[in-house]
Amino acid sequence: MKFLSRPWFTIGFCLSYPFVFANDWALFLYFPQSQRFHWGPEAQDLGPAMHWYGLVATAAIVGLALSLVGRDTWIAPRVVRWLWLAPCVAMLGSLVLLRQFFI
Amino acid sequence: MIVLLLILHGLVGVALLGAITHQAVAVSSASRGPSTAFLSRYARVSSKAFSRAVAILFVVSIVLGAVIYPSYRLDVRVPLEEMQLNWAVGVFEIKEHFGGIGLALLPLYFYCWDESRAAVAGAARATVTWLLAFIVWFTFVSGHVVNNLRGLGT
Repeated sequence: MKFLSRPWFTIGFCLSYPFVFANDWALFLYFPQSQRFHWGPEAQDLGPAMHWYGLVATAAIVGLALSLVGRDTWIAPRVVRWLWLAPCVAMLGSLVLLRQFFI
Repeated sequence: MIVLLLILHGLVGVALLGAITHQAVAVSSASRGPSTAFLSRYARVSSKAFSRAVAILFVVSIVLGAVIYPSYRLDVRVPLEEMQLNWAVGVFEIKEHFGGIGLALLPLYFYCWDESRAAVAGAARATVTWLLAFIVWFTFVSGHVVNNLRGLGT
Protein backbone atom coordinates (compact mmCIF):
# COMPACT_ATOMS: atom_id res chain seq x y z
CA MET A 1 0.00 0.00 0.00
CA LYS A 2 3.06 2.25 -0.35
CA PHE A 3 1.51 3.86 -3.44
CA LEU A 4 -1.39 5.21 -1.36
CA SER A 5 -0.86 8.39 0.63
CA ARG A 6 -2.66 8.12 3.98
CA PRO A 7 -2.94 11.85 4.78
CA TRP A 8 -4.26 12.60 1.30
CA PHE A 9 -7.02 10.01 1.79
CA THR A 10 -8.16 11.77 4.96
CA ILE A 11 -7.94 15.19 3.26
CA GLY A 12 -9.86 14.01 0.16
CA PHE A 13 -12.57 12.22 2.12
CA CYS A 14 -13.07 14.95 4.69
CA LEU A 15 -13.03 17.98 2.40
CA SER A 16 -15.38 16.32 -0.11
CA TYR A 17 -17.76 14.99 2.55
CA PRO A 18 -19.75 18.20 3.21
CA PHE A 19 -20.29 18.65 -0.56
CA VAL A 20 -21.23 14.99 -1.05
CA PHE A 21 -23.64 15.22 1.88
CA ALA A 22 -25.11 18.60 0.91
CA ASN A 23 -25.75 17.50 -2.69
CA ASP A 24 -26.78 13.96 -1.71
CA TRP A 25 -24.23 12.41 -4.06
CA ALA A 26 -24.67 8.95 -2.54
CA LEU A 27 -23.06 6.31 -4.75
CA PHE A 28 -25.99 4.01 -3.97
CA LEU A 29 -28.97 3.82 -1.67
CA TYR A 30 -29.98 0.98 0.61
CA PHE A 31 -33.63 0.14 1.22
CA PRO A 32 -33.83 -1.79 4.51
CA GLN A 33 -37.49 -2.78 4.14
CA SER A 34 -36.91 -4.59 0.86
CA GLN A 35 -33.21 -5.27 1.69
CA ARG A 36 -32.09 -3.97 -1.68
CA PHE A 37 -29.31 -1.72 -2.89
CA HIS A 38 -30.29 0.74 -5.56
CA TRP A 39 -28.20 2.78 -7.96
CA GLY A 40 -29.39 6.18 -9.10
CA PRO A 41 -32.32 8.27 -7.86
CA GLU A 42 -34.55 7.23 -4.99
CA ALA A 43 -37.17 4.59 -5.80
CA GLN A 44 -40.61 5.30 -4.34
CA ASP A 45 -41.88 1.75 -3.87
CA LEU A 46 -38.97 0.26 -1.90
CA GLY A 47 -39.64 1.93 1.48
CA PRO A 48 -37.38 4.36 3.39
CA ALA A 49 -33.94 4.85 1.86
CA MET A 50 -30.62 4.90 3.71
CA HIS A 51 -28.10 7.32 2.23
CA TRP A 52 -25.17 7.04 4.68
CA TYR A 53 -23.51 3.97 3.15
CA GLY A 54 -23.56 5.59 -0.29
CA LEU A 55 -22.33 8.97 1.00
CA VAL A 56 -19.36 7.33 2.72
CA ALA A 57 -18.63 5.31 -0.44
CA THR A 58 -18.63 8.45 -2.64
CA ALA A 59 -16.35 10.38 -0.26
CA ALA A 60 -14.09 7.30 0.03
CA ILE A 61 -13.71 7.24 -3.77
CA VAL A 62 -12.62 10.90 -3.70
CA GLY A 63 -10.21 10.12 -0.86
CA LEU A 64 -8.85 7.07 -2.67
CA ALA A 65 -8.33 9.03 -5.90
CA LEU A 66 -6.48 11.77 -4.04
CA SER A 67 -4.39 9.25 -2.10
CA LEU A 68 -3.35 7.64 -5.40
CA VAL A 69 -2.35 10.97 -6.96
CA GLY A 70 -1.02 12.81 -3.89
CA ARG A 71 2.38 12.22 -2.30
CA ASP A 72 3.23 12.60 1.38
CA THR A 73 6.19 14.78 0.44
CA TRP A 74 3.85 17.37 -1.08
CA ILE A 75 2.60 18.21 2.40
CA ALA A 76 5.02 20.61 4.07
CA PRO A 77 6.09 19.50 7.58
CA ARG A 78 4.60 22.64 9.13
CA VAL A 79 1.22 21.82 7.48
CA VAL A 80 1.09 18.24 8.87
CA ARG A 81 0.28 19.51 12.36
CA TRP A 82 -2.80 21.27 10.95
CA LEU A 83 -4.23 18.30 9.02
CA TRP A 84 -6.67 17.60 11.87
CA LEU A 85 -8.60 20.60 10.57
CA ALA A 86 -9.84 18.54 7.57
CA PRO A 87 -11.98 16.18 9.72
CA CYS A 88 -13.13 19.21 11.72
CA VAL A 89 -14.37 20.83 8.49
CA ALA A 90 -16.30 17.65 7.67
CA MET A 91 -17.78 17.48 11.17
CA LEU A 92 -18.79 21.15 11.21
CA GLY A 93 -20.26 20.81 7.71
CA SER A 94 -22.32 17.83 8.86
CA LEU A 95 -23.55 19.75 11.91
CA VAL A 96 -24.66 22.68 9.74
CA LEU A 97 -26.46 20.34 7.33
CA LEU A 98 -28.22 18.55 10.22
CA ARG A 99 -29.33 21.75 11.99
CA GLN A 100 -32.96 21.25 10.91
CA PHE A 101 -33.34 18.52 13.53
CA PHE A 102 -32.68 20.98 16.35
CA ILE A 103 -34.52 24.18 15.26
CA MET B 1 -29.69 -11.79 16.72
CA ILE B 2 -29.85 -8.01 16.32
CA VAL B 3 -29.85 -7.53 20.13
CA LEU B 4 -26.76 -9.76 20.34
CA LEU B 5 -25.03 -7.63 17.71
CA LEU B 6 -26.07 -4.47 19.56
CA ILE B 7 -24.54 -5.79 22.80
CA LEU B 8 -21.38 -6.76 20.92
CA HIS B 9 -21.32 -3.27 19.34
CA GLY B 10 -21.56 -1.78 22.84
CA LEU B 11 -18.80 -4.00 24.24
CA VAL B 12 -16.46 -3.16 21.37
CA GLY B 13 -17.32 0.49 22.01
CA VAL B 14 -16.31 0.17 25.68
CA ALA B 15 -12.98 -1.42 24.73
CA LEU B 16 -12.38 1.29 22.12
CA LEU B 17 -13.27 4.03 24.60
CA GLY B 18 -10.76 2.64 27.08
CA ALA B 19 -7.98 2.26 24.53
CA ILE B 20 -8.31 5.67 22.84
CA THR B 21 -8.73 7.53 26.15
CA HIS B 22 -5.69 5.80 27.61
CA GLN B 23 -3.64 6.62 24.52
CA ALA B 24 -4.81 10.24 24.39
CA VAL B 25 -3.98 10.83 28.07
CA ALA B 26 -0.61 9.12 27.66
CA VAL B 27 0.39 11.13 24.59
CA SER B 28 -0.61 14.41 26.27
CA SER B 29 1.13 13.55 29.52
CA ALA B 30 4.32 12.76 27.63
CA SER B 31 4.41 16.29 26.31
CA ARG B 32 3.16 18.15 29.39
CA GLY B 33 4.29 16.02 32.32
CA PRO B 34 2.11 14.13 34.80
CA SER B 35 0.01 16.11 37.28
CA THR B 36 -0.90 13.46 39.86
CA ALA B 37 0.36 10.05 40.90
CA PHE B 38 -2.70 8.29 39.47
CA LEU B 39 -2.42 10.08 36.14
CA SER B 40 1.29 9.37 36.12
CA ARG B 41 0.68 5.63 36.44
CA TYR B 42 -2.26 5.77 34.00
CA ALA B 43 -0.17 7.60 31.43
CA ARG B 44 2.95 5.49 31.84
CA VAL B 45 2.16 3.25 28.88
CA SER B 46 3.53 3.00 25.38
CA SER B 47 0.96 5.07 23.46
CA LYS B 48 2.25 3.66 20.18
CA ALA B 49 1.18 0.17 21.21
CA PHE B 50 -2.46 1.34 21.26
CA SER B 51 -2.71 2.59 17.67
CA ARG B 52 -3.24 -0.79 15.98
CA ALA B 53 -5.77 -1.92 18.62
CA VAL B 54 -7.64 1.39 18.35
CA ALA B 55 -7.84 1.16 14.56
CA ILE B 56 -9.04 -2.47 14.61
CA LEU B 57 -11.62 -1.76 17.32
CA PHE B 58 -12.84 1.34 15.48
CA VAL B 59 -13.30 -0.57 12.20
CA VAL B 60 -15.04 -3.49 13.99
CA SER B 61 -17.31 -1.04 15.79
CA ILE B 62 -18.24 0.74 12.54
CA VAL B 63 -18.88 -2.56 10.74
CA LEU B 64 -21.12 -3.79 13.57
CA GLY B 65 -22.90 -0.43 13.60
CA ALA B 66 -23.40 -0.60 9.83
CA VAL B 67 -24.93 -4.09 10.18
CA ILE B 68 -27.33 -2.95 12.92
CA TYR B 69 -28.14 0.36 11.21
CA PRO B 70 -30.99 -0.92 8.96
CA SER B 71 -32.82 -2.22 12.06
CA TYR B 72 -32.43 1.20 13.67
CA ARG B 73 -33.81 2.84 10.52
CA LEU B 74 -36.95 0.72 10.58
CA ASP B 75 -37.56 -0.14 14.26
CA VAL B 76 -36.19 2.87 16.13
CA ARG B 77 -36.10 5.93 13.89
CA VAL B 78 -39.71 5.62 12.71
CA PRO B 79 -41.12 5.49 16.30
CA LEU B 80 -38.80 8.35 17.32
CA GLU B 81 -40.22 10.44 14.47
CA GLU B 82 -43.75 9.49 15.48
CA MET B 83 -42.95 10.62 19.04
CA GLN B 84 -41.65 13.88 17.49
CA LEU B 85 -38.25 13.35 19.11
CA ASN B 86 -36.48 15.09 16.26
CA TRP B 87 -33.49 15.99 18.42
CA ALA B 88 -32.88 12.27 19.09
CA VAL B 89 -33.03 11.49 15.36
CA GLY B 90 -30.65 14.40 14.79
CA VAL B 91 -28.22 13.21 17.47
CA PHE B 92 -28.13 9.77 15.83
CA GLU B 93 -27.60 11.38 12.41
CA ILE B 94 -24.61 13.27 13.83
CA LYS B 95 -23.33 10.00 15.30
CA GLU B 96 -23.44 8.19 11.96
CA HIS B 97 -21.71 11.03 10.08
CA PHE B 98 -19.04 11.47 12.77
CA GLY B 99 -18.49 7.70 12.65
CA GLY B 100 -17.82 7.82 8.90
CA ILE B 101 -15.50 10.81 9.32
CA GLY B 102 -13.70 8.95 12.11
CA LEU B 103 -13.15 6.05 9.73
CA ALA B 104 -11.57 8.47 7.26
CA LEU B 105 -9.42 9.91 10.06
CA LEU B 106 -7.78 6.52 10.70
CA PRO B 107 -5.22 6.74 7.81
CA LEU B 108 -4.04 10.13 9.14
CA TYR B 109 -4.00 8.70 12.67
CA PHE B 110 -1.78 5.81 11.49
CA TYR B 111 0.42 8.25 9.58
CA CYS B 112 0.95 10.31 12.74
CA TRP B 113 1.79 7.22 14.81
CA ASP B 114 4.24 5.82 12.23
CA GLU B 115 7.66 5.87 13.94
CA SER B 116 9.45 6.43 10.63
CA ARG B 117 7.56 9.74 10.29
CA ALA B 118 7.89 10.85 13.89
CA ALA B 119 10.00 13.86 12.93
CA VAL B 120 7.30 15.19 10.60
CA ALA B 121 4.05 13.90 12.08
CA GLY B 122 4.96 13.52 15.75
CA ALA B 123 3.69 16.98 16.62
CA ALA B 124 0.23 16.17 15.22
CA ARG B 125 -0.17 12.95 17.22
CA ALA B 126 -1.83 14.42 20.28
CA THR B 127 -4.35 16.52 18.33
CA VAL B 128 -5.33 13.71 15.95
CA THR B 129 -5.62 11.23 18.84
CA TRP B 130 -7.79 13.60 20.88
CA LEU B 131 -9.98 14.28 17.85
CA LEU B 132 -10.51 10.55 17.36
CA ALA B 133 -11.17 10.21 21.10
CA PHE B 134 -13.82 12.94 20.86
CA ILE B 135 -15.52 11.10 17.98
CA VAL B 136 -15.45 7.81 19.92
CA TRP B 137 -16.86 9.43 23.07
CA PHE B 138 -19.56 11.30 21.16
CA THR B 139 -20.69 8.27 19.15
CA PHE B 140 -20.70 6.08 22.27
CA VAL B 141 -22.70 8.47 24.45
CA SER B 142 -25.16 9.49 21.71
CA GLY B 143 -25.79 5.85 20.79
CA HIS B 144 -26.40 5.08 24.44
CA VAL B 145 -28.84 7.99 24.83
CA VAL B 146 -30.85 7.02 21.73
CA ASN B 147 -30.87 3.37 22.82
CA ASN B 148 -32.24 4.45 26.21
CA LEU B 149 -35.05 6.37 24.49
CA ARG B 150 -36.04 3.51 22.22
CA GLY B 151 -33.80 0.47 22.02
CA LEU B 152 -33.71 -2.23 19.39
CA GLY B 153 -36.00 -5.14 20.19
CA THR B 154 -38.38 -3.07 22.37
